[in-house]
Amino acid sequence: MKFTIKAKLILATIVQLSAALVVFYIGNNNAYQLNKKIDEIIKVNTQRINLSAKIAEDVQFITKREKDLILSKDREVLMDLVKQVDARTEDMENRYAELKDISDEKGVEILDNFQLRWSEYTSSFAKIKSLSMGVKNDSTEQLAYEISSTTARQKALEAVTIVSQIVRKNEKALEAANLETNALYESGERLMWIILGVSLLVATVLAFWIIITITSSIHKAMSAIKAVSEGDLTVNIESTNKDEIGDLLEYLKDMIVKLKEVITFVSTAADQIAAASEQMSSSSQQMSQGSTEQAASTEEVSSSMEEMVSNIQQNTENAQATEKIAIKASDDIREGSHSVNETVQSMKLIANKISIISEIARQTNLLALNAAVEAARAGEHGKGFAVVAAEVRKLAERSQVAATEINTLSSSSVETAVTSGRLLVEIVPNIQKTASLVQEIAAASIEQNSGASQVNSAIQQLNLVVQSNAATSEEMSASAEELANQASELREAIIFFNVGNNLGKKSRRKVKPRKKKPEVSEHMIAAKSKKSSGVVLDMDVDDDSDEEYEQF
Amino acid sequence: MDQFREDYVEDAKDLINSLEQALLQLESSPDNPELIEEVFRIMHTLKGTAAMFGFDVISELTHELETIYDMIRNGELALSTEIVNITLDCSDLLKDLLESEDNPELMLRVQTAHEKIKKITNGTVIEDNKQDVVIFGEEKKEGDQPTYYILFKPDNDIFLSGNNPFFQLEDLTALGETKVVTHFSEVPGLTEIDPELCYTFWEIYLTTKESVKAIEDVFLFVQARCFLKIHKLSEANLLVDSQFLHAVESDEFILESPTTEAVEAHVEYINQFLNTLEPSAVETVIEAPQPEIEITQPKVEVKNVAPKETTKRKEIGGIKSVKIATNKLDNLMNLVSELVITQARLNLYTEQNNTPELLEISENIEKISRQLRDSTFDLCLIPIDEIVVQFKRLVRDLAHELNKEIEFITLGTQTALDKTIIERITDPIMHLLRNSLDHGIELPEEREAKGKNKQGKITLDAFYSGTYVHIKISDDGKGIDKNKIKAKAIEKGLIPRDAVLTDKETYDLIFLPGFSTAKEVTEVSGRGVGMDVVKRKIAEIRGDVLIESEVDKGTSFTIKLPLTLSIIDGLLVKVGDTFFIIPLSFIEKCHEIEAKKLQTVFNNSVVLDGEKIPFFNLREQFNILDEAPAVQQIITVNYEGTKVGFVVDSVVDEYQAVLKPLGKMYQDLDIISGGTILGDGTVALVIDTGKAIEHFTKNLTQA
Amino acid sequence: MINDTIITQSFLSFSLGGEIFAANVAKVKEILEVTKLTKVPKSPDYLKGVINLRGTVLPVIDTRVKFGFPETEDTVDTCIIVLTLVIDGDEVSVGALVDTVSEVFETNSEEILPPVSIGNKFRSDFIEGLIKLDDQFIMLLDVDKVFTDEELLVVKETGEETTI
Repeated sequence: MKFTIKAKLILATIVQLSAALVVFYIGNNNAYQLNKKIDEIIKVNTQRINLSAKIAEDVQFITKREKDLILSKDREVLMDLVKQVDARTEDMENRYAELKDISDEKGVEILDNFQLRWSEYTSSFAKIKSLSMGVKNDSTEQLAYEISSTTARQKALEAVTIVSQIVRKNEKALEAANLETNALYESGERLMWIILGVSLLVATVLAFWIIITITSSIHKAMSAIKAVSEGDLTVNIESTNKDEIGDLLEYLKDMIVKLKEVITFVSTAADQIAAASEQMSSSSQQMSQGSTEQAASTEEVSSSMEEMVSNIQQNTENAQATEKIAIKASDDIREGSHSVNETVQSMKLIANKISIISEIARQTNLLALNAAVEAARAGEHGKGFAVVAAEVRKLAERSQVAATEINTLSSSSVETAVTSGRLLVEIVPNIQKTASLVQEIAAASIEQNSGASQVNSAIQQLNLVVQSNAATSEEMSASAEELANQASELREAIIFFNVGNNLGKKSRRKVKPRKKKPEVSEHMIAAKSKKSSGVVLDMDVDDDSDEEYEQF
Repeated sequence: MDQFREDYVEDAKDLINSLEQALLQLESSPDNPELIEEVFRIMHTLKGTAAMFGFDVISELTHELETIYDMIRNGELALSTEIVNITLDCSDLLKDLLESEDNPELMLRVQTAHEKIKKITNGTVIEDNKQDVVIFGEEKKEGDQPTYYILFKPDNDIFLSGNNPFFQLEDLTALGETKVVTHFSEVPGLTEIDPELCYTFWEIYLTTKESVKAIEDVFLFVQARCFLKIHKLSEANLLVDSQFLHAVESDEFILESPTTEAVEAHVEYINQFLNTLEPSAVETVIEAPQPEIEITQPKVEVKNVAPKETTKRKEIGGIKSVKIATNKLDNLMNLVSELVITQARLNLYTEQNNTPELLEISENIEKISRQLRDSTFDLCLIPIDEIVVQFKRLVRDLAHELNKEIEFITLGTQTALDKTIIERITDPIMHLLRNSLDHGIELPEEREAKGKNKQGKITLDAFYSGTYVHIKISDDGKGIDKNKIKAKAIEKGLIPRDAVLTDKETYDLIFLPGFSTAKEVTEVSGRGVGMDVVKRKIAEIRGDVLIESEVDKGTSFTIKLPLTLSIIDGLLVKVGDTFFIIPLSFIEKCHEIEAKKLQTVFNNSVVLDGEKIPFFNLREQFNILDEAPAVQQIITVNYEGTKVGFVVDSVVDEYQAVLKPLGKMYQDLDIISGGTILGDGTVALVIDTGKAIEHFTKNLTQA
Repeated sequence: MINDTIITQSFLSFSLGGEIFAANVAKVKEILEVTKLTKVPKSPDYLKGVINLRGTVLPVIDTRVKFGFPETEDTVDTCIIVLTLVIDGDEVSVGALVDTVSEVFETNSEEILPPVSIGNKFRSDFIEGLIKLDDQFIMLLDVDKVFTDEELLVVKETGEETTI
């Protein structure tokens, strides 16, 4: 049976609680007895005293009114007085009844005695009353007064005395009660003190027992955890206790075993990672180098491509210019042919006009003849004119001849012009064909140009990709380095744990890849190494690695 | 200047001719002062114009001659045969001088002429060059200033426009003598008066030589701002008439109010008043002095001589007519014809070239040239009026001579005829009138016995009928006795004894040569050379004479004349490429006919409109050799009451042809009455249908 | 016309069928180009027709026919000489169609040779005379006679008479 700390603590608590309960019961009982006594005192005795006092008061009131009755002559006052007395009498009788109820036997005796006295007074009062109420005269008054001062006063005094007896009696009872309560209190106090002492003793014993058992177990666990915290996983934990602490140690033991296992695995993995990252770093360095070379050659290709494009462009432009020239030439020739046609037309027109001139010359000739006739008919007077007419006629003839010559000339010119026009017209289609061929060349060149541009842009894109590849591989190399670093750091961290085997040998190899860093990213690496240098203390600490570095 | 000299020479020749005529007349009646006046006037004109154009010799010579006649005119010298002879010599000399002034031989003659004249005038010559005689007596005598009535009422606000009506009044006063009546009737009371407004108006009686225009000009600037009325009261100066002045001054003429109606009534009143004045004044009002156009040339008659008692003439202000040499008119006519032809060519050319602007111009020219042609034709048309006067005189004189009482009525005297026709119709009409007077109208006693009005009646009625003018001369005389004519014709052997004649044929007998029905040959008619000449003369101008008569009722001769000689309304047709014109007046109808049909017809006749009509193919007849078109036109013409067809290639158009003679070379060719020039300048030939038909028929019978 | 006194006369020469003729300019009114001619039916052959001479109708004589030359086509040089003839005392204008009009020349009356009828194919009464000009004989025509006479210029043995 396992006696756990819990059980121990529950036990101790139960003991304490039961002691407290006993004390409470006793205290409470005493208090109850006291309360009962006090209630009695207050409810009965005090009431009796109170009522008695009131009855006494009533009696005095009534006697007083009795005197007023006698003195008063006014009927109404009388009546009022009577009423007052009657009402007071009633109240007094009620009180009397009440008092009789709460009175003990002795008290009732006294009360009966009082009753007796009171009734006597009452009869006296009645006499007085009737006297006062009847026809009042000095006699009556005298009589009444007599009665009142004799019998009535006596009886009243007696009644009051009896009542005071009651008060006295009850005051005595009160004093007895006080004594009784005092005794009660003293007995209760004694009992409670005893019980308190016993329970204190028990509690102390229990506490000592519990503290001793718990402390020893915790101590054992503490020492084991401390060893683990210091990295010593070799600590041996022996648990004897069957309480919770014992369990705890048991689990701790398990944990150390697991931890030992994990650390051994991590250590191996870190070694492996270090190796892999080393390898990766080297290959990515290689890749980066290749990428760089690739980028360079792409650049070269691109530039030569551009050169080609520009050449093609030049070609295109030349072709276009040629085409324009060809078209212009064709147009010019057409224009020329048109001009020749116009020339032909003009020449024809000239021929036409010349025929008009010829006609005019002919008509002039005729006119001159007419003039000559006219002149001849005028005889002597017309002589001069006849000469002129003859001259005109000659001129007309000459101009006709000239016109004919011009006509022949112009018709031959027309022929020439027509021929040249025809030739020109024949040239036009050839030139047009040339123009169209050149046009085709130009179109092809333009197409070529656009193709080359496309190729060029593709190469540019490739170049970009290559460059980004180079960068990526560099980054990768850096990452690999970083990874190796991390792995080594991991290893460093794991070394902290003592699992009791050769973890340290592997850790020395991991530093090697650092020397195979690619030149491209040297700065980066350097920067990184600088950064990390502050953190990884064992770089400087580890002498072996430094030596190896120098040997390279 | 040469042109003017030429004109002068022509005028001068005319003048000299007139001079000669006048001189010859003067010889027979030396006391006729009118003739002397005429000679003097001609001399004066010759002198003036000769000096103007530098014919100094002529000027000198005529001056001296003028002096002689001035002296005769003034009674200082008696006209003698010697003077006439000298003058005639001089006129010959003047003619020669006009040809060449520098000829020394002529100068010699001038010298002798001078001497001869000097001899006559010697000692008695008092040169008086001052008096000018104006040919067209337009100058008005002193005091012949017309009187005007002017109402001038300026608008109330005339002052506001910066005008002062007094200026107008002043200007009027400057024009001539005035009598101004000022009216204050419109001036309001003193309380209502606006000192800036004009309330006054004036009546002005003005005598002035100036025209109404001059008076109106005075009011030029206030025209829009006044109420103005100008009335001519009289041709005479009324302001020298005391009666009139008195009437004006004594408020006899009171203008009721300045309104148009009132003014008209007022003027009417004044006129009435004037009528009550002495008759001389009245006459001047009614009859304005008429400028007489002197006739110096027996060419175109533009005579205005009309007996005052029978004709009232319109007032002639200025020169209303001019005389023109006929050859000039003919020339104008020819030129216009040329123009019309050229214009037609222009039209043709324009249509071919289709240039809108040119087209417009050409159309314009067409319009104008047509108007010009019409006006020119019009120029050559002269109203019968011009010759009627002669007839009237003739009738009166003859009636007087024959002791017959005649009422001569002329109707339609404004009917115009070509001048050549007028010239050539005068004699025939004269003859017909004579005939009517002599043979037609009976003696008054005879008429009374017959129960007719004692006064015989001859009517000359001229009227248009299509392109013809009819002149109808009718009398209410004894008419023509057909039997008598027939008997006489038989007697004279003009017709066979047994001839049966229609009325028309009978009447036409009197036109036969050597026929005269009057038993006694009178001085006036009846020589038997009248009617045939009449007929021939009328026929010469393409006219005709118709006779209608009824015994004891009267006779009427109707002369049917073409409007002009030179214009024929015809149908332009084409045969081959020759154009012909068939006078429209003969044409009945045009039909279309296929050439094939014509070749197969029998007896050269076709049935058209259900009528068998003989026809002639102009192509065959005229030896036009080229191929006939498939469809031809057949034109039926009226030939002496029957229809005859002419086959032509095509009908081109209706055409108003200006007839031109073909000339002597073709004088024997009577089937062509002439040629006319078409729009394109080619000549179309006018066919004389009657002659042609006769000719063709002759050919046919010969064949 | 041939007087004893030496009178200078002007002539218009023209050719017709290779021969050269001349007419006294006094008879020549003007020279015209050939215009549209209207043939007049029923007229002699030598009357070629009528033309419009500024608004008047001018008859034109085909001189070739009249002179007995064969008919040929008109050329640009063909002209109409407007002659003033005297027929029955009246002046009449007539056009004469000739091949070419050459010139107006002057000559003294003494240079005019009398016409020779022998060996000449033309009727001598139509020829006024001959003139030798530049090695060529020019026949001076009596235009009044030539153109008013209905006879042909050429002498024919059994000439058909032209009638109307």
